[in-house]
Amino acid sequence: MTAATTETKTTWELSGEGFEFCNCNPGCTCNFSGFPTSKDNSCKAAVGTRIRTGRCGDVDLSGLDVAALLDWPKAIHDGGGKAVFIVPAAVTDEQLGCLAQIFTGQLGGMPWEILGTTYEVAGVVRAEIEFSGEGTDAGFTIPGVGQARGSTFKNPVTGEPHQAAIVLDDGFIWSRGECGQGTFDVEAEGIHLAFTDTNWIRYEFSWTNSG
Amino acid sequence: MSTEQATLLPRPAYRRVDADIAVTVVLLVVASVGWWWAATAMDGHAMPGHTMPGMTDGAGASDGMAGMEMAGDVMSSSASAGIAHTTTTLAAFLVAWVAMMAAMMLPAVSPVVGLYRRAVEKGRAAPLPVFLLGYLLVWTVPGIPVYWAWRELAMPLSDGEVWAGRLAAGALLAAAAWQLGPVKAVCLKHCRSPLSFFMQHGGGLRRPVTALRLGLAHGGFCLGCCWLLMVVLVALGTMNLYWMAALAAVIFAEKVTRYGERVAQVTAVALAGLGVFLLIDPTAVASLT
Repeated sequence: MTAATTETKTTWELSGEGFEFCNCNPGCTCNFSGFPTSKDNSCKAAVGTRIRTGRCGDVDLSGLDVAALLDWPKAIHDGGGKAVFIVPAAVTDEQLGCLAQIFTGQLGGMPWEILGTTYEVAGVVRAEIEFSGEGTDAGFTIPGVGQARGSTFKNPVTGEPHQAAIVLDDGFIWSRGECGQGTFDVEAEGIHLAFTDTNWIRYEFSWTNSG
Repeated sequence: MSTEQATLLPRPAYRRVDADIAVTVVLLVVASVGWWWAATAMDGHAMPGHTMPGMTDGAGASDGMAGMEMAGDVMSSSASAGIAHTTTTLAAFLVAWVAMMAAMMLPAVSPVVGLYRRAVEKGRAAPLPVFLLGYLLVWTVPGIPVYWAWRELAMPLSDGEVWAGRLAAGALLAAAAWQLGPVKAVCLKHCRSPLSFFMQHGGGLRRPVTALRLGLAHGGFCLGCCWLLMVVLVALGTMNLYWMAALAAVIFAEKVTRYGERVAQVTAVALAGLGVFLLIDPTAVASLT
């Protein structure tokens, strides 16, 4: 309640590329029907974020690679989630402070203004995030945490690559995502996520709290 | 999941459920008092109403100047008394209607409200009542035509008049068709996905105007989803607790459970079945209300 009165006017903008691995069936249903298609109706994800250009007030955030492990017990909108953020050693405390404020929604701006209220931050881990691969045959490795690896859908008959994309004109996290299937196994701060051949989406994002 | 989390989690969850139940009970009590008030006001009005052709006669007489002059003082006094009475009844009815809509809809919109409430608790959004006000405004406006329908239908329904039965059958069949139509599908999709609703329409939730606008928008999707179910309720007598409970259960299942779209389709079949039954035997409507 008190936070509402201490509203800050710091503006921020981030754009770049996201790598989302989660425990749903391929195709992120949370973007459509609001309910996860995972076996236990939970939403668990490992997300890598490459910030191409970014700033928060006067702080430059361009070129930062960060990641998060997210664990919601039910659908995202039911809240109660936990998040662990992973940032490389080179990220300054000032930059980290900005990212924390953005991703927990404290500075406003979609999607974090709402999304950031559905989880508590369980911890921040310092580690490098190494992205690799092309298109949907891509992923990331985080030494000491684990890795996430995506692949293109295969045509069930011929075995040839089967490229699929989801376009959401008013999508809340991304507007166009390249879909495939992914396998990930990551662990940090008490969150351990391990799933095989589940949803993986690579997307362009552009978020801001101004305008 | 650690042990401390296991012991910490259930408590706020229970408290929230308790609060939701308390709110629903209070709304049902408000709705009951409103119904009783409206029904009493209408009964008190019914006797003079039957012997008060003043209003209709007056309207007819206004064609001729002579009629107007003859009606004179008597007419205007009884007409104004009638209007005052109608206003009281309408006010009572709207209180009951809004409370009833809130009681029926709030369980179904609890995921959206919960998400918004979390944003409020973290200081990210304008107070919850602002958002709810927008939502309830959307459901209040239909209460005005419903009031007239309720007054006109109360007696014919309890008498089991054929035309009232056919009207109810028409409402049921129309609702069945709506359940399967594209507008319903779009609205239901918005209602069922609280997160994407806020993402698509949100931003700047701390501004009360934005919160109110979002409440109106969400109420709009909810109305698009459920308005024909409410027409069914009205066609079956408006104040029937069993139908209210049944429709509230359907609305809840459509919006909150995983198989909501399927529930909407099954409901369409049930509505159509009942509609056909009433077409065959319209007088049976008396036993349904």
